[in-house]
Amino acid sequence: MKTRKMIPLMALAIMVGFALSSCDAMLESLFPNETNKGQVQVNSITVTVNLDKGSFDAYYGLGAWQMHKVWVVLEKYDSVSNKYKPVENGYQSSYLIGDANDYAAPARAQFRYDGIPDFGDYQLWAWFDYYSNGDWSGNYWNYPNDPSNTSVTLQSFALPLAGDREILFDLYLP
Amino acid sequence: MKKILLPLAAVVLLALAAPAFAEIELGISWTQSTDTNVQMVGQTQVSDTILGFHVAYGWFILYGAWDSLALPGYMIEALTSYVDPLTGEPIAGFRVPGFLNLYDVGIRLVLQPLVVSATIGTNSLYLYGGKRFDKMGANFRLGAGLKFGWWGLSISGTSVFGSMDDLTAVLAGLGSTEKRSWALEQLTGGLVPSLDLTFYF
Repeated sequence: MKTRKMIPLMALAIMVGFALSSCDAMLESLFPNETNKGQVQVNSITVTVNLDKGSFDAYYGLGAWQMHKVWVVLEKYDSVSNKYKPVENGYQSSYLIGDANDYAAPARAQFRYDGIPDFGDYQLWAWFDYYSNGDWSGNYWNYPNDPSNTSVTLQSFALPLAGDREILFDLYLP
Repeated sequence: MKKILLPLAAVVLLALAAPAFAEIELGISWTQSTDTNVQMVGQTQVSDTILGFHVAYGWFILYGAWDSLALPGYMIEALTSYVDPLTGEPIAGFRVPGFLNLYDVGIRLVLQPLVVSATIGTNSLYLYGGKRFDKMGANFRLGAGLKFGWWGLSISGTSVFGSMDDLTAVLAGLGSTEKRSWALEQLTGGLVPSLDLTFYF
């Protein structure tokens, strides 16, 4: 068969293949970052609280590329209301590390809390939301309490007794 | 009346001058698109290559085409976001990838090797995951290129509108002295250029 005849036939074959194949499969191959939930993976969220400097440092690494939000919140126990409340002592009470339109990772953010006397009165939240298939899904972790979402594996967790207090969330979303 | 008859006569004369033939077109198109709304953290903007598939039938100067463009999530979100006419509230669209299907009719002039086309039509969306978006949109397309026997290369521009009413209003605006500049801006400002490779047989 002449090349002149073969090329249109090949194009026709591609078109037929496209029509016969699942549209979703085609979209998944063209836009894997926007369709593949299985690739959402947070390698780590590391939060370091330095009691001496009163600093609070948070960063995370994302193993896959997907629209997401990551932020951390430090709360202090309020004995009057018997509830934990976000720390607001002149600085931000929470920090959004990666925002809703942010495909990029890893990102790093630093912010300060002054005068953190004892972690016993505080609790720390790390939130991770990801956008997939048109919806937001999320998980959050709380120190010192157990992870609230049992479908997520909390692989490591460290709290040095003195100096920098580092809480490492090593997360994987299957 | 004269305004309508003159262009009509020109089209008829071109139709008579054109060789009597019918042919099928199959093609692929590439469009480069950038999500300008993304707020990146130390990263470059998200840029996507939009792949399109093209099937068309031409008879004399009459032309019918189906194009299917695989769009990333942010473009689908823009196409499916709208303002509720009853409440005036903005309705957020679907941020999922999908196919924009363009069903067009129009004219195509083949003056070898030059090929020029202008089409108008409706469009529908297929959204990833089977999500439904029932609104039908409208589009306006212009194309120009070169045909080398059984294959050709062309540049085309597509303006997509939320509804046929929107497109009709813009086209009607072309005939109005007051609205002409606005209509032209609507038609040409949103033209997304594509590079098309077409096979004829």
